[in-house]
Amino acid sequence: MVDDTQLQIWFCEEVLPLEPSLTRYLRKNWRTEDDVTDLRQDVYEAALNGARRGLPDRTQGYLFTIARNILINRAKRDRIVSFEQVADLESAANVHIDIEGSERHLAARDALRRAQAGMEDLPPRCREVVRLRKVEGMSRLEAAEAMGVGLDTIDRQLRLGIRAMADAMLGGSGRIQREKPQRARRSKSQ
Amino acid sequence: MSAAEIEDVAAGWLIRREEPGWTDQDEAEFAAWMKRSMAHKAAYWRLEHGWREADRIPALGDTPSCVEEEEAPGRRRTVFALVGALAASLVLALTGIAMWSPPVPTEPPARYETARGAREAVKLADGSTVELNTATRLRAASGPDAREVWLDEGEAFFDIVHRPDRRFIVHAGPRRIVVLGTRFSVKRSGDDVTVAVVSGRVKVEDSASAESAGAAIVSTGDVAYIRKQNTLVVGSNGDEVNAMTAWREGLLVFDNTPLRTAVAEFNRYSGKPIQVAPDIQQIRIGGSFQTHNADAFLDLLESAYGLHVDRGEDMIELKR
Repeated sequence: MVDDTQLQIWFCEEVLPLEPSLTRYLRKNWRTEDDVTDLRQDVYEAALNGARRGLPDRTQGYLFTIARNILINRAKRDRIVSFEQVADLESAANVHIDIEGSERHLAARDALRRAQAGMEDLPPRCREVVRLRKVEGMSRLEAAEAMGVGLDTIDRQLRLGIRAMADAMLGGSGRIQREKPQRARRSKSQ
Repeated sequence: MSAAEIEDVAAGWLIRREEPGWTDQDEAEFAAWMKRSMAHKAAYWRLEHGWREADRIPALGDTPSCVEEEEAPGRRRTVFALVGALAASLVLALTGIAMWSPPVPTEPPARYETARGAREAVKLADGSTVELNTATRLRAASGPDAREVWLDEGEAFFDIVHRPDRRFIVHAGPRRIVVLGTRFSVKRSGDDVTVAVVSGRVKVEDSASAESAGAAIVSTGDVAYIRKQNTLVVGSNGDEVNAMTAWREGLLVFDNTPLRTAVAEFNRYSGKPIQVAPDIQQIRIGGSFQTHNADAFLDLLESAYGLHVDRGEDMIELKR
């Protein structure tokens, strides 16, 4: 059994840098954009459960094989995709990973760019709460006093801000995601 | 539960765990939540990692000039410089206004000093402890709003008692370090400042600036290197911080360190400097050594690398 510390290090250093590629792969092979976050979470959960019995030698192949299986199972379960389409899924071996996105540690410059873009994309109030937290090091209580709003507001804005900033830093859109995504059936992009 | 819902709960835990007042009971509840599902762990670890990545950024916002931008095209740089100059004059104006308020009277600062090769721990009035490494001078003062330390020279490790009402600030030449958490080390050599954080968080800002523009948050396991106007925060790997605070145990720890750098470290502790011949300065060495036992270090270089040690009256020469 792999202990939690090892598992967490593996997840953060080997798996999370692949997140931009993984997200692209899911988006390309699934027609509903709104499902991508859930699918990705399922991939991570399955990857961690499997890795608990022993860390894989090649994380990339391992992760995309899991992603492919999850897409196939989901497609069968939902009966929304014909079997031909499933067979068309890119084989895990052929997934293109861009070098920049898969580096283990972000170069300081890229990290800065992502952080700044992430901050700019936040709504003003949310941005201010994140700034007070990150730059001023304030607790929620201190931030609530500084901004003259309730603790609930700070708490909600900070949760949204942390999620959006984490997403931006991991190479995502950094878009604010509400708890209940609207189930609009958009066709897949591209 | 959708991924977004799990992530929202995870964000709540992350916020509370960062704040003071986190109890053992809270930690137990958090552990139970994490244990309940691998999906919880995936969401929490991902969020914590991404949020921490954002931590390492100097200046979430206004002053790109403090970030290393070696390959920046000239045109962009000019724009930055202009913005920087504007910001600087604005800051000057703000400082000017701030200086009108009468200074708060405080007791004269207490002075602490260690000789070359000495190491000493002192307890400050508020219960915080400061360990001074070799050849270090610092002053400490306590006011109604803030506790302040001036590191004039050398290196010190700080273990700070958390007081939400009174900030703890370390002034180190061109930078000031505002303590948000607890334990960290600061090394100063002229205007070069290095900050290594063992636990908690600190904020490193420009001394000349009244605002938090150009501030960098340094978290547990991270090291901030400040050279002139550049701040580079690297980390997530506790090894480097451990090596940088090993002096507290009387040790110097090297990992793939150029011989020149390693010898410079030993020279900080001894009155008899070691000089390294130019052709061997780049030899990489590793291992841990006692700060006061340069002889053991030299013996190793003699036997392992076949280097020649020439022990003179006032200095030791090291050559091939």
